[in-house]
Amino acid sequence: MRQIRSLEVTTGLFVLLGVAALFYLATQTTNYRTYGGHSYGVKAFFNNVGGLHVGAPVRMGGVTIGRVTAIRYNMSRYQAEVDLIISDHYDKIPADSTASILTEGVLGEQYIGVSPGGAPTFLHNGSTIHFTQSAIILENLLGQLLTHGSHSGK
Amino acid sequence: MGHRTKNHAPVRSPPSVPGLPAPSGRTTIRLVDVHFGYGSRSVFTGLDLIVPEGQITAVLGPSGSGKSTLLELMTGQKTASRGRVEVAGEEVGSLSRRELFRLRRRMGVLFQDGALFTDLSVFENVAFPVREHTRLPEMLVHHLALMKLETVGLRGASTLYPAQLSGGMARRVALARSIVLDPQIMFYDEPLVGLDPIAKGMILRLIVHLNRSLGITSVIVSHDVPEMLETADWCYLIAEGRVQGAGSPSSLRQVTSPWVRQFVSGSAEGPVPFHYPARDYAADLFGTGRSA
Amino acid sequence: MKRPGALFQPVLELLAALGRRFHFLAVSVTLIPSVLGRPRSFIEQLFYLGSVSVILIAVGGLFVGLVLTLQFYSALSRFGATSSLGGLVTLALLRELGPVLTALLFAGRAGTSLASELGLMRATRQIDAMEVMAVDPMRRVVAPRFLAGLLAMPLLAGIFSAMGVLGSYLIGIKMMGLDPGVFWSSMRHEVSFHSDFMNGMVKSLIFGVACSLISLYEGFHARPTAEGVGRATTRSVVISSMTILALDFLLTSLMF
Repeated sequence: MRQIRSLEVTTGLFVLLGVAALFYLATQTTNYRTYGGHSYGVKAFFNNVGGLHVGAPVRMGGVTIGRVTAIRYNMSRYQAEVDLIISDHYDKIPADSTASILTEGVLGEQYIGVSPGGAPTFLHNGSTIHFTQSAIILENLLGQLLTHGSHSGK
Repeated sequence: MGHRTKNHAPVRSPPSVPGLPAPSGRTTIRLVDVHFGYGSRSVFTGLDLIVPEGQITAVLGPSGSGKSTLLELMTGQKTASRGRVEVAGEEVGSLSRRELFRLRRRMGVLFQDGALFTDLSVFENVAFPVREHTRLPEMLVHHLALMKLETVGLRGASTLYPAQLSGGMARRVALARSIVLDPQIMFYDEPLVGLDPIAKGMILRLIVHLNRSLGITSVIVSHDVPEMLETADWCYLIAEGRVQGAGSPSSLRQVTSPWVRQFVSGSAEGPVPFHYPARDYAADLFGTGRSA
Repeated sequence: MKRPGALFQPVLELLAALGRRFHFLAVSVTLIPSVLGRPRSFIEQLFYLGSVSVILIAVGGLFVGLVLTLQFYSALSRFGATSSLGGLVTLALLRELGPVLTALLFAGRAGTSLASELGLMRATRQIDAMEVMAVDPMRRVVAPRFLAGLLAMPLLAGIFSAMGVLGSYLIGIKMMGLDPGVFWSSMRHEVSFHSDFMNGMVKSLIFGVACSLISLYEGFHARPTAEGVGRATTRSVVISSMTILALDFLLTSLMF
């Protein structure tokens, strides 16, 4: 009987260990937490989203406050439409804030940076960020630089 | 149980060798014109056999004559390619798995090496069929298993594991396991192989005891001719896919068939050839024969 | 001498072999409810397949985490991107190395023990004994082992990956002196719960089914001789490993 007890205990330990490992991986090493919890959704329209992809962080002053949940092209506005979710902790973002697509480092991930405006009303579930700044496309930038350089050279 | 109606006319006499005698009494198992083979190798070609109720029937034959296959046909582990195998009035080959399992609960099988479950103790081995097939309270399971272990004289070994048992003991435990649900028919597959004379005597005593006291119809498959002639009520000799001889032990000793005489007396000289069938010896040696 | 049908013989045999395995799988799956009615033997099997492999899996995961971090560190430092180290290691572990290496180790440790155990039961006629006792060996022997195997696999893969992350932490932060904040946050940024973590879980579960099924099938249908048991054990590792790698490619391209 003692043998059976220790077998059961060891099996229980194994299951516990496995579940704990999975739980740890799911909650601590993935973006699971920012998807769950309470949050509200807002929209933003950009002329060009560049390399932004679903799951990219939304940051304010470098602090992650939310995440991109969907990107699609809006055929009536001829702009890219981006859905964001923002954690409920950050529910006092002025309605006239600006969303820009920024790049982490020179070749890093793209994310959405929000810089606060000054309006007395705040963003809420379903509202749209009106002031946006599209992604800076490196090729365009280089192209501009080159044509500019050749002009001044003449 | 155990009504042995004398002079009851047998339903059908074993006809494979005309004139073979048939056992008297009610029939428990009947094989009619059974054919069976593994791939292209045929084991039985028209086997007829009757096992009378409540008696000990021995099936004797040389190694490789398909004796174990015969048991597997009777327990439904294998199905005859032709012919009928009837056990307790049901045709084994045509049963569904559920029906077959119901029939098997009335059977017990003692395997050659016992086939004990190596990860269970002796007690748990014997209790296994009870636990699987009934919902008896633990106390009754305990009583039942210990009673059967007492029958085979191994109540004291109930906490041991199969690896700790001698060959003879393992077989006795297996016997206890196969009779724990009181079967009506017992099959013994080579019950004496590899045992010392004392263990042989014990197993034989148990087989006879179970048959005489409980009226269990017993089928023993063996090649231990002298022991079987002493124990069985009725014997069959099988070879080359058929029954070659049948009768009570005393009558078999007087049979004139040269094959039966060779087998019963265990001599190397006789109709059973020493040589395996082969091509012409000279042709094989000098390679002049046709290629096979 | 060959009949024209003989040409198709190998194809037919392959199909038949596949069919027999899927039938075995189907029977095992339908018997799962019966296992839940008898948790005793299931817990026992979970012990033999899971608990005894924990040390192997944990040590394996730790070392893979250590090596992976060293390799990625040297590669990433060429691009000045060591800030993504944590995320990259975790991605590799969760999506690929965790499920696959766990399955391969499982095939070698638990799979062989399943195959040899069942092969031995076949050779010593324990399976036949159950049959004639009117006890279905598929229900009594195969089903609990199957369920235990398929549940043990994701749990073991979790332990493997978690140990890998620990190994990565040890090298990245304790040895290479990366900033722990950057290390941990890069994981949360790069690793998605839905597409990465769940992707790995699905793989693991399918590997669990494949591995247990193959080992059980080979053992259950072993030839009842000592040689047969040996062959079944070898075959179980070979077939399991190949199946895992092939399935991995298939699943990765499906869930890409």
